[in-house]
Amino acid sequence: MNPGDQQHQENVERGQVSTHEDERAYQVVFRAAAQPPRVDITPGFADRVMQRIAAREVAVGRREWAWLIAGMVLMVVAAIVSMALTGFRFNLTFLDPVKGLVAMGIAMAFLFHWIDRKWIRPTSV
Amino acid sequence: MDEKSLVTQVLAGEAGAFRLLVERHQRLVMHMITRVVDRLEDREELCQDVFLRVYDKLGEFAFQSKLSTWIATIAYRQAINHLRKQKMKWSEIPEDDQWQQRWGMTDTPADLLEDAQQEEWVRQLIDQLPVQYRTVLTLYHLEHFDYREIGEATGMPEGTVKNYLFRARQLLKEKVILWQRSEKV
Repeated sequence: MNPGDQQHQENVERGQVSTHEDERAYQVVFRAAAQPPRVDITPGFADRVMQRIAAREVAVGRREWAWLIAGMVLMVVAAIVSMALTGFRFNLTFLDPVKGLVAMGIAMAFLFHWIDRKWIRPTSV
Repeated sequence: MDEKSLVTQVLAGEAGAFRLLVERHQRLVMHMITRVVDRLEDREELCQDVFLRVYDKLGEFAFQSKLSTWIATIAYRQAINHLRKQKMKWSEIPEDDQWQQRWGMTDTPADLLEDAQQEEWVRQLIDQLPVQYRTVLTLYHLEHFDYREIGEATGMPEGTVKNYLFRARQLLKEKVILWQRSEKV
């Protein structure tokens, strides 16, 4: 950095009035640089941003549903094919001794899911 | 409403809070984009893209800097990525002296703006500076960011920010002096 120029810039930045040619030129530069560029923020800019966010969320929601349905259909198809190929017969009698435990497990899963949706997600987003 | 409450409300899903955030920072984003991207038709969409990115990433904002600095960072990156994608002029600042002689010589003030003010001419010169110089000048003089904040927004070391700011002002000053001398003749 040129020390002379650096000094001139510092003087102008401090608002020092000077008749020095360089400092007068720097004053013009500083004033021009502080002017905003010619931009027109068209009215409703924030609205358009909000509309894009809303439209995107609808699209994302649709995509998520589509994936969910596709996954479920695939799972059912895979289960049917597997049962047909292996001759599997649906039999849950092995669960008989732990029926209560299984029921409690399912109930807990629902409870935790409900608590998560109701209390945890809204505060941690 | 302070920054922290505003961010908290946006994260809680209040659309009105995000609208307020956009309204508070739209000018900053528009200035950043305008200084970097020349094509008028790309600017508004890019500004909107910046705010969509802000919306997506706001949960990661940890209040380690001012919200405006963080938004300026996103705006700067978005603008530079746009230039790269469009293969527009985006390069390191040329080192050669010839560039400095060529710069701003395409239009002399008399040719370009006979009746216009010096400041308007200087503003046009600013638009012809390399992107890095323009950005640093804008953030410092217009948005009143300090060197550290400009460094955060642009990813440049503080020393580089100071150097670019000094060089940009010096280049502009030299042009102003040439003009002032030519006016006296």
